[in-house]
Amino acid sequence: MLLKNAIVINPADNFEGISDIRIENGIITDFSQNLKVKTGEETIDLTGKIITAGLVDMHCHLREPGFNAKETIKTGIASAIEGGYTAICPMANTNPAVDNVTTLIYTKNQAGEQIGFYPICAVTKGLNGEKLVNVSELIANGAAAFSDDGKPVENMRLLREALKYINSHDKIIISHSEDFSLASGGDINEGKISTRLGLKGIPSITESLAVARELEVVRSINGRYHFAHISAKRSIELIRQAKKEGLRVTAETAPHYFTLTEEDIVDYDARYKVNPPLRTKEDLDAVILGLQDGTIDVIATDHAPHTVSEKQKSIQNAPMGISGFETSLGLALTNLVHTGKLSLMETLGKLSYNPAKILNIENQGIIKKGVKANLTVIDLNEEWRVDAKNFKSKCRISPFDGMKLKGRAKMTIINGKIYNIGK
Amino acid sequence: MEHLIDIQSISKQDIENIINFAKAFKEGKKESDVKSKTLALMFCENSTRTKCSFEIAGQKLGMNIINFDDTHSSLLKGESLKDTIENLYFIGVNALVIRHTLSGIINNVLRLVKYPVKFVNGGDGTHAHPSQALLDYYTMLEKIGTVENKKITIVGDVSHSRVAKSNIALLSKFNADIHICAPSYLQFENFEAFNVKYHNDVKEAIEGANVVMALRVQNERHEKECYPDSSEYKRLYEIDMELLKKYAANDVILMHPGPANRNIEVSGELLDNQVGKTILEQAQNGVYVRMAILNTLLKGGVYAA
Repeated sequence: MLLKNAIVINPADNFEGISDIRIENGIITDFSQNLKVKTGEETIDLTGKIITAGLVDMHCHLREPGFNAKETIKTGIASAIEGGYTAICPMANTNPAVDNVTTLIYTKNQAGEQIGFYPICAVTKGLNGEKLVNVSELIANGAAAFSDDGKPVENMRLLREALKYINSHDKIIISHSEDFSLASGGDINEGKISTRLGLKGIPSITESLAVARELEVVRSINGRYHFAHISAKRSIELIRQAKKEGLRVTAETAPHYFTLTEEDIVDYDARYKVNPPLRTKEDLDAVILGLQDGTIDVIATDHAPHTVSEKQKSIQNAPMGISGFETSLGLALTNLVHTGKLSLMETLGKLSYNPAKILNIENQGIIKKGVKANLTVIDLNEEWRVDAKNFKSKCRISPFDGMKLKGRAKMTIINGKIYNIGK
Repeated sequence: MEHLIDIQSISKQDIENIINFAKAFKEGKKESDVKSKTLALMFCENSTRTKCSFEIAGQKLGMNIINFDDTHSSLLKGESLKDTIENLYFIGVNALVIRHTLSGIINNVLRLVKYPVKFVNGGDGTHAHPSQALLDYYTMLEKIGTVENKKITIVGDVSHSRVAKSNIALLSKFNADIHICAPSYLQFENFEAFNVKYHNDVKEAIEGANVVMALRVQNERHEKECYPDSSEYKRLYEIDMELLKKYAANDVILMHPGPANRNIEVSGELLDNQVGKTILEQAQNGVYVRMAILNTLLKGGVYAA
């Protein structure tokens, strides 16, 4: 198969130019300009379209096993492919948690070969922060990284030992940075909006305090560590300083943190309820600055589906989380690229190459002769409206519903197999 | 005015109209327009005066009244509030007063309910208590004529007070000089939320005040870890005769949304004195103000004397 005339953007080596890509048996076998069509070869003309390394989501929740009403591995994968993702890394907070080989293998079997599937396993058994999992056997069975995401590891001695051991196996811990004593049951960001609405606030120090403490742990053992879903200005400042000092840390944010603020929460609508909470304009600006100067390496979806009826509950009783796969790329292109805040190369790097590199995932995030053909075809200028009721995800409710976006994935190519999007 | 959810979402004219209707009801110059309409009272949190007040207001208007007893309701059986309300509408309920522990519960349900039932917020969490603010305003007008440029000081547990928030919203619309006084642990989480003057010192806060509104200090809260004992509050913030005489305006009026903790936020002596009588008049005015609210929501119209 030959993909012709697309603008290829390959963040792995900063290449940007019109080029053809030949795919044979799922592998990229040629990648240069003006390739000659072989007899009988299927060709697709992608003039005006962009081909980039397939998008890699290093942070999502698929809910299976245990919460299949919210999402299953199958519906989650369908949603990811619709969003342009060729690889995903589901978090471990299912029931049972992915803290053991049996559950890990179960999730991999459910996923099959449809998409690059790289599960994140729990740091502690049952995600209860008390006992380290059997790290090496989980890695032997495919653990891509370790995280108790949804909860922080609060015991600093355990975190330090876990990080030492996990790093010694060349894997990282992904931190859910939250100080529970400060968060204590809040619903939205603590600030003038929470005061006016009479809702319990989650102050931004909830995140930055955890980041500060964990940075000290990382420093003490020269660990390699990744911060998930960073939302607060002060956290970004701390991570920026740590990177400057040579600490081996990376960080991610999610599209809602550069799109929405607490001011967008209307009528106590739980669609906007997410953890960490939507913060202030100042925090949003800091997230964008962090993306620009490289403090934030990755844009992850933090796809966190729930049922529609759960998200229609009162904001105090509704669960936290936003359906993210099918809007992430559009939000990034609309709010970062088309606004001139970030180049297309930088943006796509944070959506593909950087997460693949941080997790050391082969055959993803890169366009190169000899690697598997995991690619995303993008129409940068197509204008479309988010329509949550047509999501492939079971979570057909979104704070972005009705939002007009510019730019979207048109094809997701996984190991050479083409999925047309919006069809 | 479609519903009464909070003060922010109604206009100055709406407020003036309710005040005029309330006055007419109080003076016996106005007949009910909503006889035989049905009012449901859904009180999912303890309440004495608000519930009684709405019930009597409904009775005086000749309405049918359903008390939706929370302890036996289908809400406990897991039915969603939206479903309950839609059923009540089809049973024949025209207006619904809801009191609930969750802030914003009516805003959320209003988005989901598809039938034209009228909502009145009878107090939701720490969000709003608009009928209380309206009756407070009515009482202030009766006593001091206008609130414009009058110093109105709210003292007590503002952080958890929907009454304070609704009063701030209302009094701001009419250009009152609003002062808030509380110890740090009972103050609003965020000062930028409201454009009012904040004080820690009660003497400074009530200096020259025309209205002092004491709020109920919730004793149960003082048992939590971040708060000192309530005696600590009393020592610094209790409103008594001496404090009012020494610092407030000569004709100061003392208000309280009730129920008051005697000798914690207000001295018993003051409550039993002539000054304390305004608090009872607030309760009385509440009935007429709530008649005006119900009549306006269900019939509409502008009061013409």
